[in-house]
Amino acid sequence: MNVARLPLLKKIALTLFRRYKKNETKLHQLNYIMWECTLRCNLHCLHCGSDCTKDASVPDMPVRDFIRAIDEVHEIVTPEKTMIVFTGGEPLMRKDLEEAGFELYNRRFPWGIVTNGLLLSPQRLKSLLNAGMRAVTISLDGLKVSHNWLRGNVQSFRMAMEAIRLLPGIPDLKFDVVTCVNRRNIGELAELCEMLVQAGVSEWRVFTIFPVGRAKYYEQLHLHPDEFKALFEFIRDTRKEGKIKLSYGCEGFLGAWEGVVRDEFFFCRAGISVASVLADGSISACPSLRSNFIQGNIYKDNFADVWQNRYQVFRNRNWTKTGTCASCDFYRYCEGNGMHLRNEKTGELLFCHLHRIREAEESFMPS
Amino acid sequence: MMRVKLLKTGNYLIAALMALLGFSVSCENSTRVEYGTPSAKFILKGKITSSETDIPIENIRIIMQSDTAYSDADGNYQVVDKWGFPSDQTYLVQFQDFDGIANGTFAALDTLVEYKDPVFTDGDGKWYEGETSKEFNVRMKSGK
Repeated sequence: MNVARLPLLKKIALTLFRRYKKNETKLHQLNYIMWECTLRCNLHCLHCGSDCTKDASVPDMPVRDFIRAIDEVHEIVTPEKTMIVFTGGEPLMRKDLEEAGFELYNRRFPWGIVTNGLLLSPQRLKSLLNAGMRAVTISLDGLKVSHNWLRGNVQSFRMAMEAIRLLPGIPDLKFDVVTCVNRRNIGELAELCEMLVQAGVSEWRVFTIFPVGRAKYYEQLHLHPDEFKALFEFIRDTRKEGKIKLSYGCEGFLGAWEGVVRDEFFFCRAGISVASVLADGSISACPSLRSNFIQGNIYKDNFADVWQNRYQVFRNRNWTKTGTCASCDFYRYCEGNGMHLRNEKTGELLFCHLHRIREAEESFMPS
Repeated sequence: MMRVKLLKTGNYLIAALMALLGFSVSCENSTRVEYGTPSAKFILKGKITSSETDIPIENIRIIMQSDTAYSDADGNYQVVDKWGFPSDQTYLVQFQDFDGIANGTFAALDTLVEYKDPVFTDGDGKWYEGETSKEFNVRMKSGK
């Protein structure tokens, strides 16, 4: 497959999808809120995208403050259709997560957590389910050695697997596993796949490292172009096999690989339908979008007002057509890649998926 | 409100067109698939007949969301979205004659089915709000 050669049908579909995205942008319907409920974490991951700190010097936001912000947007959302996801740090470091969850449950919001699994004991899981938790995402970044290396803890693989094995069969609970693919674990994916299938996992998402947070300092985390391309071939083949629903995370535009390695075409919904409340009360689009992307603060602004009247930087992305994007033939479909891949201060594109795949293709071209 | 409705309808139509091309797009919050929400069961059932002869058509494939069913000898069918949102919903439903000349040859039909103000029964009082059912009879034209 040539990443730059789009079949006619895909071109037509991508053109239709452009209109779909424009309509969604105009609708600007908030339906996904991430809450960075703590910066505390029990691990020290190499690739962490948050401004994580292991000490408790950054206090957790009180539950009542977050719920007050949610009450502000209550009138402009359909609660049943608005997912709230607790992220961190490690959300399970909070003892009062159930309190927050139950408040959301009473307001009819579905909610879930993204966790490293270390603190997800059977007792804690039961407690969270009783508070209305509907979804869990657990991070597993390779086989034992690779995972423990990335996570900086020799017990983390065992504990994550134990947590994963708790989840299959729980009625009405959606769960999946996410894997950060890097140079250490790219060769283990087939074996990891088998392990997940045996553990009862039916949905698996993989993503690649982007140069944000601690990850930008670790070159070894970044896949080489040929590995990057091989990852997409692995996803395609695994999806065909059908034993597990494997998808590439919705990170960036993939050219001809669109519609092959995930169900839907690339659409960065940050600020279009996705908002975040960060640990200090900042209102953003995704937790990895900070600095100039911050739109307000729940301690100073009304969350609903911010959502309805700001977010221009996300709703009109013409400003992204600079640098390599300015002359790219695929900009019309891509519209500047994921917002988390733009420099927070300069707006410059930090990583282009299409370009990386092209590099691999060109390196195999006969001279 | 009219503008919102137009935009939403536009996107339903785009979703239908993209489905015809073999590509998927979610008209609702795509993240719900990833994380799950309060749920309700949306049942669609009815009878499929030939628009020319009124004779029931057997073995038509019906696709709604992730459910696929086939009409029986009397043309009856039922498809279910087990994980719908308990609110107004619009589904793209596809009727396909896939068995060649057996049972006649009929043109594929893609249509939108709307559940307006649905009433749910037999919920568990928690997240599952129960089921709602809609009858939708279909007349298919002959030809490919």
